[in-house]
Order: sequence, then C-alpha cells, then structure tokens
Amino acid sequence: MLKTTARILLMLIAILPLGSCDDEDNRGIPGFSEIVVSPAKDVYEVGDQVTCTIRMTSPAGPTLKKATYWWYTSWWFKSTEYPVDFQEFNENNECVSNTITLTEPGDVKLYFFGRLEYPNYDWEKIEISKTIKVKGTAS
Amino acid sequence: MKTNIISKLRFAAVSVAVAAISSASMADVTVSFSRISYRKAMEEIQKVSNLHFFYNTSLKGLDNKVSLSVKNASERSALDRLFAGSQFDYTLKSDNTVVVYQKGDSTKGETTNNVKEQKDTGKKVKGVVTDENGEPLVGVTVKVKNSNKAVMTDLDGNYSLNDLKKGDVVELSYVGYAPKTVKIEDSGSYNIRLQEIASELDDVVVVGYGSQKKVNLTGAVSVVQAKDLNGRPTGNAATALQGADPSLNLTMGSGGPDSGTTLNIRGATSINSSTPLVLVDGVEMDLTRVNANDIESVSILKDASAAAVYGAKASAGVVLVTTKSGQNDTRARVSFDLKAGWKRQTTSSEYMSSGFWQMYVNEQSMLANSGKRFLTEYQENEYAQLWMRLDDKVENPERPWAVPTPDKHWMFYANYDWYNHYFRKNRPMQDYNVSIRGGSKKVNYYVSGRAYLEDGMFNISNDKFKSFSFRAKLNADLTSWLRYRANVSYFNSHYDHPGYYDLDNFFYLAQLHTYAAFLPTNPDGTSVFQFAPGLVSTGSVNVGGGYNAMMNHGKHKTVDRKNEVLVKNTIEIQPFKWWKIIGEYAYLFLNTTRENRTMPVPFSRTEGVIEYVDRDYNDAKFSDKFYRNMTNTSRQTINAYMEFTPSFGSHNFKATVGFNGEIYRYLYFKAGREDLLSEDVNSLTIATGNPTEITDKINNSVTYGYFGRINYDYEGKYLVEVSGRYDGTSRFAKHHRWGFFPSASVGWRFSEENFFEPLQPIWSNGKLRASYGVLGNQQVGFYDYILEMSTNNGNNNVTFDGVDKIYYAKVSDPVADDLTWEKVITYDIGLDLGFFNNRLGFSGDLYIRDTKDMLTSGAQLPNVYGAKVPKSNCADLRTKGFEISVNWNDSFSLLGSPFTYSVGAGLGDQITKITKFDNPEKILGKHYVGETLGEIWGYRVDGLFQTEEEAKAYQAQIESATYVHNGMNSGPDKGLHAGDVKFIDLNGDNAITPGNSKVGDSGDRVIIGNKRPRYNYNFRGSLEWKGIDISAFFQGVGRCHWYPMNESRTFWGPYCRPYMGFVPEGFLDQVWTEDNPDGYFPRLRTYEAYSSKRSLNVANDRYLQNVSYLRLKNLTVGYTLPVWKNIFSELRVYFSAENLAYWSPFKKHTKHIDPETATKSGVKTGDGNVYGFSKSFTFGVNVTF
Repeated sequence: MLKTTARILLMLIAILPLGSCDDEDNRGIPGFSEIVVSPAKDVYEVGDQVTCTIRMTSPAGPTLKKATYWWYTSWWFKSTEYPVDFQEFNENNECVSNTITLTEPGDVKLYFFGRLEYPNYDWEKIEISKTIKVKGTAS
Repeated sequence: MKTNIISKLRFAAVSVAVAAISSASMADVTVSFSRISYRKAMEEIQKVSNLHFFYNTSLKGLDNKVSLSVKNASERSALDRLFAGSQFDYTLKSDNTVVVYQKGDSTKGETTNNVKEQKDTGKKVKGVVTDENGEPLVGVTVKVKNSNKAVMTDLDGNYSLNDLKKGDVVELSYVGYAPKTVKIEDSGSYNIRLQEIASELDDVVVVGYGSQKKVNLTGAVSVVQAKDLNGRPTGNAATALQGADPSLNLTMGSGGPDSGTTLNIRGATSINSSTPLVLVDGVEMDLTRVNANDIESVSILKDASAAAVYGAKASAGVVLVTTKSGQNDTRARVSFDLKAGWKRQTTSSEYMSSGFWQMYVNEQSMLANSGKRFLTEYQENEYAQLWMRLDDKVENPERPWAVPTPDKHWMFYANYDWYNHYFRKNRPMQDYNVSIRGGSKKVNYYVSGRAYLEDGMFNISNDKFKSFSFRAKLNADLTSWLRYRANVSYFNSHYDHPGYYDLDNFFYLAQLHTYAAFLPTNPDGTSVFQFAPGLVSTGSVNVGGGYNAMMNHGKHKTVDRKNEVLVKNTIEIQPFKWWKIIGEYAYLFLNTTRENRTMPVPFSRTEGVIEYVDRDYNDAKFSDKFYRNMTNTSRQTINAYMEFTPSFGSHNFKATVGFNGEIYRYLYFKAGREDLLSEDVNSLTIATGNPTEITDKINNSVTYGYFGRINYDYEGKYLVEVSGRYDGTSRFAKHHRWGFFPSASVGWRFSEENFFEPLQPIWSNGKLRASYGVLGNQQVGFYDYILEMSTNNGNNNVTFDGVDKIYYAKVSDPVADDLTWEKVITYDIGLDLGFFNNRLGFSGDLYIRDTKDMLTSGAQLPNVYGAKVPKSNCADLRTKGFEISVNWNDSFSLLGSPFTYSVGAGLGDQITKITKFDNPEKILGKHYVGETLGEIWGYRVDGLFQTEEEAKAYQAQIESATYVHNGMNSGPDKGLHAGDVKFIDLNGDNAITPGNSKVGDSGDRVIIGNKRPRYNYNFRGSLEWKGIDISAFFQGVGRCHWYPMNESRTFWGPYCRPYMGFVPEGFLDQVWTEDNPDGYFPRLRTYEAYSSKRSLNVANDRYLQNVSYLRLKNLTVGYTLPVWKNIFSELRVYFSAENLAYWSPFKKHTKHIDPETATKSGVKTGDGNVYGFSKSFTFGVNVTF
C-alpha cells in the first residue's frame, strides 16, 4: 500500500512540472538581468545624470516575431524629456538607456519595458524596474 | 362553486352508497313533472332550487314513480309533497342539504354521511379535508394505517376518528388527488389539504362566449393553467406566457423594462399582420398590462372553429385570458406573495477593457482597409504608453490614465471598462402581490393589488420602472334568476430613463469611439466628448456619440407613463336552468404620455474651457427642447348573447347566439418647443422658442358582429359544433364591410364506445377531432379605402415673400375602394389520448391554413399612371403545421409521504408559402409564388483563402469586379489575400454575382436559411414531497437563422466600423491569421460588414447564424413550512429564477448577444442594438391567512 502511494506521489512529482509548462515556456521568452544604474551610488542628487543598462541573459525562442524595448521613469509623464526611450539590444546583448537626468527627489523607479510579439496575438509584456534614492528638491 | 360541484360529483362516483348532486339555484321552488322516478324527481328539484339531495343509492323505492306540480312553494312544502305517501322521510339541514332516508331509519340517515363517530376511547382527532384552494372535499377516504378503521368526509369535508394511539398514521386517498399521510401525535384538529393530480379531462375550458368541458371540445384549444403563470418573477403576463404552448410564438421586444411583446399563433396568417386577438375577461387588452398573478387560465383558440365566434379579429387565433374570481361560501383568504431579487443581462458583459488591445484591434482593422490610421496621434510612443499600463486595472500614479499636455489638453492611456461604466451588472427588483378572495352564499369577491419595482441597466443615470395594478371583481346572485358581475381593473406604469427620446439610439450610438484607452471624464471632472484638433484624431471622434457627456450631465430625460382603466359590468338573466341571457358592457381607457427633455450638454477638451454638444456641434439630439406626446385610446365593448342548454335524453345541446360590438377611438397629440428657460423644469409653457412640432391624429373604428354556435353531443361520444359570425367593420368601404364566416367541427370520443371497454384499464381516453372554418381578417389600416389629405411646407422653392415657405395640401396615393376582408380558411385534425387513468396524456393537431385575398399592391401599372399602385385583395398564402404535447402526472408514497410529480413536453412547427402573388417574373425582394416566408438568399462560401497563392489563383479565375469583394479594389494591398472569404461560383460563370435577382436567375445566390423560428418546443417538470416543491420550465426554438445586418455592431465589432467601443473579450481568438488558420472571421479589415458589396455585408452561409436556442425559462424551488398552522393556512418560502440559462449554437461565435434579441431592430433594421434580455433571481414568500 505504502509502495503504491509512494509510486503515485513520484509520478505526480514527475508530472507536475510538465503540467506547469505553459505557453510562455514554449514561446521561449528571453531572460533579463537586473537593471544596472551608472554611475552607481547609494543616494543620488537631483540633477544627477545616469544611464541604465540591462542584459539579455537568455535569447527569445524562434516564434518571436517582433520585440520592442524602451526605458521609462516614474516622473516622465510630467515632462517632455522622453515620452519613452526606445532602445535596442546591442551585439553584447545589452540595452542601454539614453542619459536620464534625475529631476524628482524621493524613491524613484527606473523601468525597462518590452513588448514581445508572438504569433496569434499571444504577446508578452516585460516590465523590470529598479528603485533608487534621490535627494534634493524638484528641479 | 365549480370545485364544489365537481367534488360532489366525484363523491357520487366513488362512494359506496352515496349520491350527491348539487345545484346553484336558490329560493322558492317551482317545478312540474309527472310519473318520473324519485331519483329523477330529486334531480329535477335540484335544478330549480338550492337544495342538495343526499341519499344512499341502495334505498328501496328510488325507482318508484312520482308526480309533482308546485309553484313558488317553499322548499319544505315542496319536499313534504314530494315524499308524502312514499317510503322515504327526510331531514332538511341548515345548509340546504336534504338527507333522504328510509322511513323508520332510527339514525335518520346519519350513516349515509359516513361520519358516524367511532365509539372507542383513546385519542380523538377530527378536521377538514380541503383541496389546494381551501374548498372542502367530499368523500375522501380517511383510513388508519394497518387497521380497518376508516371514515369518509362529509359534505363540508369534515371527518372524525376516535381511539387512536400516538404514532398512528392516517392515510387519505381521493380519486384525482395525491394521497397523503398524517402522523397522529395527540388528540386535536388535523386540517389536511390534498393536492390535485386529476386528469385535465374534467377541466372546464373557457371558449368564446362560454365554457366547455375539455372532453367535449372539438376545436383546437390549448389551455395554460394558473400554476404555470402565477408567482413567476416576470414583469407582466406576456413574458410569463412565452413558451407556455408550442403553438404560441411570443416574441419579446427590446427586453427593456417597459418593452412590449408580439404574439403569434401558428405562424403567419397574412403578409400584413398575424396578430391574434387577446381578450382579458372578454375585453381586448394588452397582456403587458396584466398582472400574471391575477390569471386563472389562458385558453388559446387555434383553429377557425374555436375562434369563429370572434369573427373579423380572430383570423390569427384568439388568446382568452380569464382572471381569478371570488368563491362562494368560503371565508376570506388573504394571500401575500412578496419577492425581491435582482436582474442581470442574459449575455456576457466581458468586453475588451485593455486600452492597448482595443486601440490596436481597431487601428489594425483600419490600416488593412485603407492603409491609414484612424487615430493618427496614437503612434509608437502612445502604444508604448498603453502597453506599459496593460495590466493596470486601476490607475498607477507613476503612469496615469490621463496625462496633461503642455497646451492644457489631455492624452488618454486608460484601461477603462466602458460597458460596465454605462451599465450595471445587478439590478434590484421587487414584486409585491396581495389578494383577498372569498364569498358568502350569494356574493363572492376577488380583490388584488400589485406593486412591481425594477431598476434598469443604466449605471450613471439610472432608469427605473414602476408599475402598480389593481383588480376588483364582484359576483352577486341578486335573485334566483338574476346575477350581476363587476370587473374593475387599473394599471399604472412609470418608466423614467435617460437619453434622447428612444433608448434604441443609446444602444446604437453610445459605444462609438468609447475606446478603453479613453476615459469618460477629464481629470478636472468635465466630460469627454471630442479632443483638441490633431491631438488624438484627424477625424471626428465623438466619444459615445455624445451620450457619455449626456449621461454625465444627467438632465436628458424621457418619462413614459401609462394609465389604463377597465370597467366591465355584466348582467346575467337565467329564466330557466337551460337558458341564460348575458349582457356585458366594458369600457377600457388607456392613456399614455411621453415627456422628453433634451439640452446642450457640457464637455471639455482644454483645461478650463467648457464647450457644449449641440451649441458648438449642432447635433439635434442635444438641442434645448421639450416634447410632450400623449395618446388616449378608448374601447367600448358590448356583448349581448344567450345560451341554451337543453337536453333530451342522451342528446345534449348547447346553443349560443349573440351580438358583439366594439367602438374604438384613438387620439394622438404631440407638441414640442425649443429654448426653455430652465434645465430643471420641463414644460412647454416656459419655452421661448417656436414650436418644433405639433401633431394631431385620430383613428376611429367600429366593428359589429352577430354570431351563433351550436354544440351537440350524443352520450358524450359524438360531438358536433357549428358556428358562424356575420361581421361588419368600418375599415372597408360601404359596400364591402360585411362578411359571413362559418365554421364546423366534429369529434368522436371512441373511448366511450362499448368495444373500447376492454382497453380502458390502459387506454382511458381517446378523441378524434376535425374542423373547418373561414374567418375574416380586418387587420388593415383604418382608412385604407379613403384618400387622405395632409399639409406640408417642405418645398423650398415655393414662397410668397422669398423667405417663408408656403403651406400646401396634398392627397395620398390612389386607393382601391373595393378593398375587403382577407379570408382565412383553416382545416384542422386533432387527436386527444389518455392512458393509465389519464396519467399519461397526448394531444396532437395537424392543420392547414389558407389565407386568400391578402391586401397588397396590385399588378404593376405602366409608368404613365404616375402614382403608386393601389392596394387590392390579390395575394394568397398557405401555412401548414402541427403541434403535439405529452404529459405525465402521477403520485406515489415515498418514505411515508406522497411524492407528486409531473413532466410534460410540447412541440409545434409550421411553414408558410406564398401561393398567389402578382410577381410573374419572381423578382427577389418581392413575394413570389412558391416562396417560403422568411427565406434568406445568399452565397455559399468555401472557407477562407489560406495562402496568398490560393487567393491569387482564385482572383485570376473569377472576375474581379464582383458584388461580394468590392473592398478588394481599395486599400493598401488591392486584390484578394489569404484570410479573405472564398465565395463559390455556383453557376460556373467565373463571376460571383446576384444575377438578375430572380428565382432561376439568381446568379450564385441560393436559399441558405430561414429567419422564421421553427420547431417551438417546451418541456417542464415539477415535483412535490414533504412540503418541498421544485419546478423547471424549459423553452426553445429548434431552428432559426439570422444573418447579421451591416449595423449589427456588437456582432461584427471592428468588421463593422473601426471605432467600436464594445469589442468582445477573446475576439482576436476568432480572427484569421496565418497563425490562426481556423479563425472564424476573415482577416481583420474594417467596414467589411458595414459597406455594401463586401464579403461580410452580403448574406452567405459561413456567417449565417443559427440562433436556435434552449432556455431554462423558470426554475422554482419552494418549501412549505409546517409551522404556525393555526395562523397561516400556507407559509411557503421559495427561490425563483427566470431566464436562468440558455444554450445555443450561436454562443460559439458570440456570448454577447442573446439569440432572441439578435434579430431585433433598433435604430436600423435587424441591427440587434437593443436593451437586451434579463435573467432574474428572486427570493419570495407566500403567506395565506
């Protein structure tokens, strides 16, 4: 009896990962590193200029039809600096933002977004963010 | 009273030694007979008095002869003379019961009653056994289980048993009623109610100007019982009646709280109108203004024989609604039915609320059509903004949905659910009913009242419907020969809804440009309507067609009120038991009013700048205007008829002759004026502008009819009915007004023949029916035979002063003055069967209905005639059909309690063909001989092109200038492509065309479907056990097609226009792409359904929808609480749901349109843009004191 139960459990353990394999896995969604902010500081000042970099750690699957990537920060909707900052990955599999001037104090979020277009409108959204501390008063 | 008589007759049948007969007459006795048996003599006296004889049928001397002649004698005097010198003595009881017994019987006949109390000691129980209505049941066997102790109930339903032990079980049994057991706990009163399961054969069916036992019917009549209509959580009687009988096609209107219904019996009667006559207590009324809880029964008179006495208006059948009446000799029963719950749409409300996807879908559809974006400013950056917010169900402060622009406008990047912004999911409803019913010996009464409150589906500016109804009926026996009946009813409704005039406009326009990316209000609270030039769109984007701003403003209002009063008085004179004279006068008055207020509504597209829809955009829907229109309709109905019911031995006759007259008057008045001084006060008197409209219209009509009907039966076996009506109507010219319409029917109850006796234990009833009849159809215009004149000033070129247009008068198109009745000839053959003591019942009918001389445009005249062809009686059609119904009712004991259940099913179908029409060339679009009404002509499709090569090869073979791919000549990549619809070249001429649009020359078009509903069916089941009752009613249509019209916006979505707000969730899954080759819809391309001669715009079999359905119309679960019996005679709680679920092949392609509303016309024909159907869930309580 115990043996049978153990067998069933083992089978379930073996099957479960298969069951959890969804379309995302089949589509081959690329992997990404964390966002790296340059220059690196614990606390930034209003007026500092930074760039953000992200690395693609694993490539997209062959069914990917089109990919669009851009950078965004939590205050850009108030300004006209960049509506969004469209960028592509370079030959080192890195995507680097344009220079971002920090104009808002407080906890500021720097976003990396991606729109991955797979067949049959089965698209994937990529959203990765990093929060930095900014001192000073709003410029 | 009816129940009393039936109960007593039953008692006579089942009791071992007792016969009881009752009579309805009263007062002194006048009777004369010579040398008849005592048995017969007592019957004769009963006929002319209010005495009830009660005697043991084994009494000696009952067949001895006796003579008697008395005039205005007292009852006792008549009895003394009757029994003088006989072997009998009698006791006259206070309730007019005469107990007859053998002279010398010391018990004075008490044993006859079988209520002799047991002399034993022990627990003593007594009580009254009644039916569901509280009527006492006579002759019920009350037996102690596992003993010989048994008694029967007396005339008043009383029983008494002695010497019972605690735990004894008493069993009650009675023919036609479910058995019941009661456990005895202690001495005392045990009043018991039995549930009827009797065969419907004994039912009395209301027919034209009278009633008949169902067994004696020879015409095609269906009956819907009160239990199938009462208590349903529906707004009115019409909606409760849907699907109740397979012959009855009840088409719901828009589905709104105040919408009407269209009735039809057995399909098309005419190409003009096929509306049956609906009579409520003999007066023509609208069922939507009748409280379903007031209904006692509904008779559907389907063939000419049954409907003949109604003549001119009955050619399409008759629906006879009989409301409840009081009951003689019963105490007042006060009943409450209180329920409350909520309603929801029957369809899915899941629409795309992703700003990105909805914008993307619409935009892509536009790009495919013209290569241009519709919303030019939503470029890659804007799409990125929308994408970032893709998962934001609520606004994220770091990426808000409305972003201010430097020049003080706003850009929108929302994920807004516009559908649930406009509409609410759950809408409360309440339904309160009260009735009081009872009566004394000579007077009975029924009073009822209802309040029904329903909140509509509009979310922002809520629509509310209220209706109140009241009915009072009084029946009084003034003397032994004179009765008076009064019937008064009142109905009031009030529907307050937002928007411009007609709600259909809302459903047509409100979803336009309501992209999920947009918000209904700007961050400063102002309404969104249009955008700053170039900011969002190059085109004109009017969000919600202005309805968004209108709803936010909240002052556009339409109020509909209806008030209807019926007063009906009836005098019934009965000189003899076999002769009745009835005179009725009814006055029905209906007043409807509609008030509509429109005004410019504010919106903003620049911070701090308010603009107005209309004032700045000149939209008539938003002008400052107030309309009031009202109708007054009065209908006076006069009926005077006599009924004779003589019998000669086994020959029974019933004759009815009479007159029916109706005077109808309709007045319509409408006035409107612009520029009111206030937004909040709605009155013409505070308007400063010129009147915009003043309309006045009156219609009058008078109908007179003389009718007669004779019924004959011989021993209840051979049945004959002959009837006729001579009718006149003011709707035709003087010499064409009158017509005579005869009918006849016969019936043979073969189960009553001697040779059938051996089969009786299994096959208990059989009747064959056949009928033939001719009826007239006067459903034409009021003044079709008269030239009408009207005035106008619409001709801009004719003025006196160069400015003001002059008024002129014009006459209508020529008319034919020889117009007369359409004639409807019906042949019907029917079979009624009963098995296993009528527990299993079957009824079926086959019929043919020929309509002759239908009114339509006559033969085409040469163009030199210079006017429209006058109408004439020049077309015929034939409808063939059938109906069958099967029912099973039974009861058995389950775990010591009676388990009563019933199941039933019905199916009906009909098909109508044109048999005469002046269209010799058989041009499609007009009727033609051989046409099946409702047929849909269209192209055949062989799927979608799966590759460019396949599309190009087809295009090379098939002529490009087609009637079905007009869109291929425009757009960014002209020609046919993968994903386009592949039409079949049926006639092999290398072109896809409609030919000359004639039968036989229809190009590649063939008949692909039929839009008339076929195979109406229903099935129902119910059970009761231990106080629990469950009933379910399903209704459906087996076949019905619909080709979505070009403005069926919800169905086509972006294929209709590139700015549809309500795009169903999951829509893209159905769109063909290279990756989705099995997609139902072709490649995404807008206007493909909207614009003419495009692949979805022309009817074809790929996109022809099967809107057949099966609907769980009602499910009720109740429990009768066995508590507080000394206070309540009934205390029941229940849950009832209406339109709970539906199943349809249509669901495969959309869950957002109900199959019944798909075919409705809103602003455009067949667009389906209407309010929609609701399902309701209610919890209620029935309390009867």
